[in-house]
Amino acid sequence: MARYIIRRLLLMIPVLICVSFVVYFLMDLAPGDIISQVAPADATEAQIAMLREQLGLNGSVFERYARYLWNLLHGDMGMSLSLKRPVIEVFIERLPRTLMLAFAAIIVAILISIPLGIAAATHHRSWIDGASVVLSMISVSMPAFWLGLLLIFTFAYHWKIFPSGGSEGLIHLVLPALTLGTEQAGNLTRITRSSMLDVIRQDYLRTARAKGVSEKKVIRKHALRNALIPIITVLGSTLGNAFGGAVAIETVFSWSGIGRLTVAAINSRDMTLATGCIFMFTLMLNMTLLLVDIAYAYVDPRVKARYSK
Amino acid sequence: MEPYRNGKESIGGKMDGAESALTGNGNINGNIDVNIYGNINGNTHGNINGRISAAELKKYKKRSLFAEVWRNYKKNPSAMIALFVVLAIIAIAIVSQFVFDYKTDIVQQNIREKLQPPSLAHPFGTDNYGRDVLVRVLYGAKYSLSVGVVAVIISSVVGITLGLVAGYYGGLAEDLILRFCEIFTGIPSILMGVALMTAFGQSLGVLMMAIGIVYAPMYCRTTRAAVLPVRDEEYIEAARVSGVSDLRIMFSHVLPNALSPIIVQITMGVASAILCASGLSFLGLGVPIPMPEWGSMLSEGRDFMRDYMYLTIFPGLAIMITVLSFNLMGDGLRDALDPKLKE
Repeated sequence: MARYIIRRLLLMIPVLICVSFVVYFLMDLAPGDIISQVAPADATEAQIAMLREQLGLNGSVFERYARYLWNLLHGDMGMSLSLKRPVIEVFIERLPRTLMLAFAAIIVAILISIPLGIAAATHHRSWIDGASVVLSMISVSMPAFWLGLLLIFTFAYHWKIFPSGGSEGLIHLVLPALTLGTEQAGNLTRITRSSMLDVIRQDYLRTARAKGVSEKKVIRKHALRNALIPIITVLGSTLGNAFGGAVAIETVFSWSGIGRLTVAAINSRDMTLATGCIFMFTLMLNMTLLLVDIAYAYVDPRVKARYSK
Repeated sequence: MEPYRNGKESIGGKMDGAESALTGNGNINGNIDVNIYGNINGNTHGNINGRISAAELKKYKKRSLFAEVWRNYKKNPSAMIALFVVLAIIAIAIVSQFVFDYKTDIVQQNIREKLQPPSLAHPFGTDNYGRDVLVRVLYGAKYSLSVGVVAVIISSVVGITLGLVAGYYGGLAEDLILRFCEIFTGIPSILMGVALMTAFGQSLGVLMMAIGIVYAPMYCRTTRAAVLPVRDEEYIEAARVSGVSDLRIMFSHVLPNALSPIIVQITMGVASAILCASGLSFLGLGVPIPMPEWGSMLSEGRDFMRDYMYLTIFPGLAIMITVLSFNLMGDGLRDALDPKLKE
């Protein structure tokens, strides 16, 4: 198992380096130059050239990237030119907000989808089953930012219960978490339902019922525990999706997390900040997927056996 | 209940006979390759089953893949509704090009009629420039559909080719291709889209390309996974032994037998491409204004949301209905292609 984890971690390195290169290169292709925002309006050509050199913006894109990568490998993500602060500092300052949003969304998604999925499977082909299928289909087909706007209109403008945007306190978290959670709930409901349906037909459930275990206990102890395995895997990718979905949702609700920060960095052509943010985003995503695989091995010994081969 | 069911089935059976007679030609063409190399296999199977019911076997053999899938697909009411909705949207997208004039009906401002609530004259109301929202939504179908379809063509051509190579050859090629895919799947697709749109500038073509690139790895993975079980089949080995080139084996022997999950992925891919495009437009990085793309209409309407909610409701509904239809079609196709998978 340890060997497997180390192998995965090592494989992550080239991927991350390539990601940083792709983003750095794309940002370089973008029209517009950060120097025009940093330099004073009346700066001469010579002054701009000097400033460029001071900020490490001279040379071809490959030279600059090589310098960037060298510093990155030494743990230095550089300075954000638009904010005039170290990238890592800005990132860490904003990170908790996005994590809060993503985890709150996951909790919302779990609270909606697990009970709904179980109810759909235990009442197979009933109205609740049909409703769960329709609702999950709608949830994956709806643009999340649109749902966000509808929620703002209903709960912030019409009923004035929740604020329409901002990121000060928990009250501001309700609507964005609800939006992002609902978006993720559709997929999770489908998986819960089909996983439960699989398990419900197994012989060991019949055995449990035959020996007189109550129906409630059969579902909770015998069915759900076994059905959880595929659900956990999907939960990981759901968390990954939530990080990505946060980009649009943070914009809708003016929630100042890293999603919004990244989009702002790209728009202002702040190469170090944009590359740094996307680099960290990718690192987080990959670590989440690795953690999910480890969790997967933990709950299912069969998977563990395959890893240690 | 039972006799009725049986009756229904036999009616279905008769209809199928007629159908397979109609599609007989396509059928022969499609199967030629497999029959040449799968001869031995096919015959032994045929003999065993033939003793049971030769007529039935003939009926099954005659039916082409398309007829078979269509027969199953027809039974799914929600998938059929979705198909009609998609056809209707395509019709709207085409007809609106001839009915409305881009300059006078779609982008021309008419300040005197601005921000009118829905009425008989303007069923979806008018926007802040006095343009009719219904007309713009109808005209906008073109953008979402074309972005969805072209992006999926780009990503499936790239993804399926890479996936075929990875799955068929294995080894180093497979490792390299999968690592390459990881670079793109590691970045949240919306951020990758934003970066690509910023780098190459906002236009319809770039949007199609950006979304095509972002989703290509998904097709690559699906194709590879579908190819793996086919790769070791005996008819592939037979083709190789008889000297067929690798390229030909990949495209005319492996791919047709691994097609089911790819078709489903393509249908649902249109849905995700449309969603992604509207998301990018919403962030102000999709189709340039004043093109009435649904996502950018939403984004424009957002500023007037407090008092003129209809400006955001209708384009959003349009996106949702289109995406939902493609998703339902994908679902129906999945069940139709592989009835075993259906619970």
